[in-house]
Amino acid sequence: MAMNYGGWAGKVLWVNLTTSEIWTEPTEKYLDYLGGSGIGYKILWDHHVDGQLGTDPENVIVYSIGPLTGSGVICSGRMTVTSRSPATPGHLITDGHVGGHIGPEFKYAGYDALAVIGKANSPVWIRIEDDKVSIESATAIWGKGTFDSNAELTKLMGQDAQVFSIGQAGENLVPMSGFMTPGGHAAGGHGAVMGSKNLKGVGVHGTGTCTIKASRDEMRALDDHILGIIGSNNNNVVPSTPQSWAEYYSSGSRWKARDEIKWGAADEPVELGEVAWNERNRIGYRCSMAEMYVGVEYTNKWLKRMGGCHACPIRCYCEMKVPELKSRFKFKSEYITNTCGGFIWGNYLMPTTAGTEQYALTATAGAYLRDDYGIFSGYGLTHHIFKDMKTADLFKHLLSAEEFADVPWEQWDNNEPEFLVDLYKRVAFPDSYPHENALGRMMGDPVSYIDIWKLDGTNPAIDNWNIYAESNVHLFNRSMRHALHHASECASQVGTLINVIFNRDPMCHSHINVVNGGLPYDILAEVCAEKFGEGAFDPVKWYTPINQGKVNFAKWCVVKNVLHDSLTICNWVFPLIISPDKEKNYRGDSSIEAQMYSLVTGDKVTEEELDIMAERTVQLHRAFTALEMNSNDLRRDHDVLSDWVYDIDPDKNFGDQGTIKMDRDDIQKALGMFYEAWGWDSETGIPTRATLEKFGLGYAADKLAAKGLLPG
Amino acid sequence: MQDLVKYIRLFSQHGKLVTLPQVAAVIGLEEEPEDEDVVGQYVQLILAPEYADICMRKSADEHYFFSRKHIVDSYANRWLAIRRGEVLPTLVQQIREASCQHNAVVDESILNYKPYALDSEGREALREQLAADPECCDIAYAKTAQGEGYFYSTRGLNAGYAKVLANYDPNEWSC
Ligand code: SF4
Repeated sequence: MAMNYGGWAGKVLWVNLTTSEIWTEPTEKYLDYLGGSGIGYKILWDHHVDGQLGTDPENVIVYSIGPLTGSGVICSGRMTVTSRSPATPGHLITDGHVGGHIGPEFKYAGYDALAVIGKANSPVWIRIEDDKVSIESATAIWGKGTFDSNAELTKLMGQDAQVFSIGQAGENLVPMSGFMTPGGHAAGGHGAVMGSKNLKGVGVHGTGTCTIKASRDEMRALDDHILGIIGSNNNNVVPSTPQSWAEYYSSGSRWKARDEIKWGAADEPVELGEVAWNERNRIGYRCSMAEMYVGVEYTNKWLKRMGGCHACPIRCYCEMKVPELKSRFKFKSEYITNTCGGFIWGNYLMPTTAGTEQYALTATAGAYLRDDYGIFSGYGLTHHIFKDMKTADLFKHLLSAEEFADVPWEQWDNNEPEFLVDLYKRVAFPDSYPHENALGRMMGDPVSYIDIWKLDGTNPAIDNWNIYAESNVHLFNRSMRHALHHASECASQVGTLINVIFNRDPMCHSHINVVNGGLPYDILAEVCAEKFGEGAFDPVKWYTPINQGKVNFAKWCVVKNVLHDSLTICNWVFPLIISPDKEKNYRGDSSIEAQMYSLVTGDKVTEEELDIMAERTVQLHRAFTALEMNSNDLRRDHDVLSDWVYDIDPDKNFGDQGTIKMDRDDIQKALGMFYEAWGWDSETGIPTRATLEKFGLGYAADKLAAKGLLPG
Repeated sequence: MQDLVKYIRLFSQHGKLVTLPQVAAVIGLEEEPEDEDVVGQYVQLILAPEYADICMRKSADEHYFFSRKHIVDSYANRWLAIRRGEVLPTLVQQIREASCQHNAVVDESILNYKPYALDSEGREALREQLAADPECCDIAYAKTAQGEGYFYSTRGLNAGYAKVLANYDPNEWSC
């Protein structure tokens, strides 16, 4: 592929923090992998060392974007970070994703990726201003939270720059840590990788552009087409209350705009009213979903406006002004911006009730603290673990008497959000306590603490409490010890299979953007049957045995997810196979990504051709998982679910109405069918040589063969 | 009629269908629009693509207009039926459609919203009517764990599964 395409910047920037060397290499050698996750996985594969830890200096961390990033096509503002992650067993490779404006800025500075290797002698940050790249001292900001650090980096580089940094959790090598950009955008799982390199942050300022091959009119026509079929966040295509412009509504929809909701903290409060799907100049009001986190009353008091990523009309980030953050908690700022989990995790941990003041304060104060310390929660996993263990009163058996007496349990019992002020400090500063601080360490490293505390049902001191049997903990993949993220509770085996193959929670919304779209079941089932085969989508809590339609659906979701993380566009909205337009019979268009790619790069591809490029990265990921785990049987070593998935609702059977219970034999059969759909060995789930070679990954087959891991 | 289109659209934005005399009265037109050939005028109007969103429905001998940019057919039909006093059959039809076609219950809270827009007395009266009407014996009413009322038709859903659907929160496990 010659490098005269639009979209890509053309260079990958390398920084070696041990030697202070800085160099570039052409992106061209990575073009078959598109960008984003694809570049990340390829670079990591090329630098693989057996048994390496994420915190080893020679582990590479890659921040990467794709051909669409910064192009201005809708929702093209995201960036992927790929590296070995200390938050997984064995520090396996994972990728995280961050929105905002940092990704596009890399493009404008002339880079498709930044790869960092080595370890600096003292704290540093990387300063990128177009071709001028330097390693700067970060001594002045080491020890500070992400809010102050990002502010300082922005001050040094100027307001046009985009920056990100780790907080104290990453500095202190807490496995459950990440980095933050201003505006509440975060990527989790690699904060400690940065901390281990003494890399506090990165600042980027670019004065270049993203070359686009298509004409302005062609790009405009594509925008118009997308704006005619796009929904709200998670592609919810109906409003959350009955409204005259919509045939259907769904109370769970993230299309919240209506008469009762306002941006009450705006300088001039904004009354939203209803926002019909065809009001294109008011799409930015459509989402306004703060009530999911703080309730309607506090939305109307605290929501200042909605924010979001580059080129996104949906705006899912709630920018809130919460005076209590300063007056009650004595935080430096009364502003907090985030979305979804960023606000929700605190209430997973506390015994709060939705709609109350404590709930709203827990959401916002918790978000502030986690963001500032740079704490990652593994899709809420650590918070569920805490609450379940606290409710079962287990900590008194696991903490030393000194430590137990040091924890302000009464604040939790009394539902005071101040408990989080104490707890998150324990997580971010694990070594700053006169006692072992096992509680903070567990919240920062649950993967290790499952073994240390024997939480697998083998510790008589806690009555053989078994984390894998507890549905409330949400630990889904038993081998990877990661949380569910739209798994068996959603779309039955489809969600299950999606949650099986990654090394962390999958962050895949391809299925959610269909099945939670808000349309009635019969319409969604029809759309899924047309696209994937009969029976692809089950009714709520009423599951049928595995079938080929479900396998096709799950595979399609994973491919689209990786496609989005490679191009990069937002998987919290795309793909758009449903739309709010009744005239279109609520159908969307799954070829949008191919249309975007063709117009921006000038490389005309079909949807199928583009999907094959994304699948190449999935295949590489799977081969990589086998390699890193040194496993010749991923069914046995990787794709294992927690017991609760099968044992929940003991009075019901799989397939009964009203349960999300799965069946052990059915899931084993589903895995076999899933493996076959990918071209993997149907027993071991490892890609065959024929499959790897079909995707141009013969080198991966050779490596697996050399280790005795290739099937057959 | 073209002069009235922007007002029809404005009313539609607020969920209201209107007759031409109603629009004329609201905007203070001195002359009432001719009602003799309203159908002919309407057909003439929508021949122009810029007015293709304007829809007409006849109800109780009156011609009502709305813009499909702001109002969908199902809403318009319910709005007109409720205006004709057919609240109960409108709700019953909606419940049966939900249960038998869409695998869904109907939240009682829809009655707070247009086109029903009932207060608590109106809602209670409607529930009593439903319970007393032998034609509606398939319509059941129950409450969620949070105490929110919901309706379903036993022609499409059994009580157990209706309860599952009514208590389902798509964000319960993952957000
Ligand atoms: S929907 Fe949210 S996460 Fe996605 S691009 Fe828009 S603002 Fe960013």
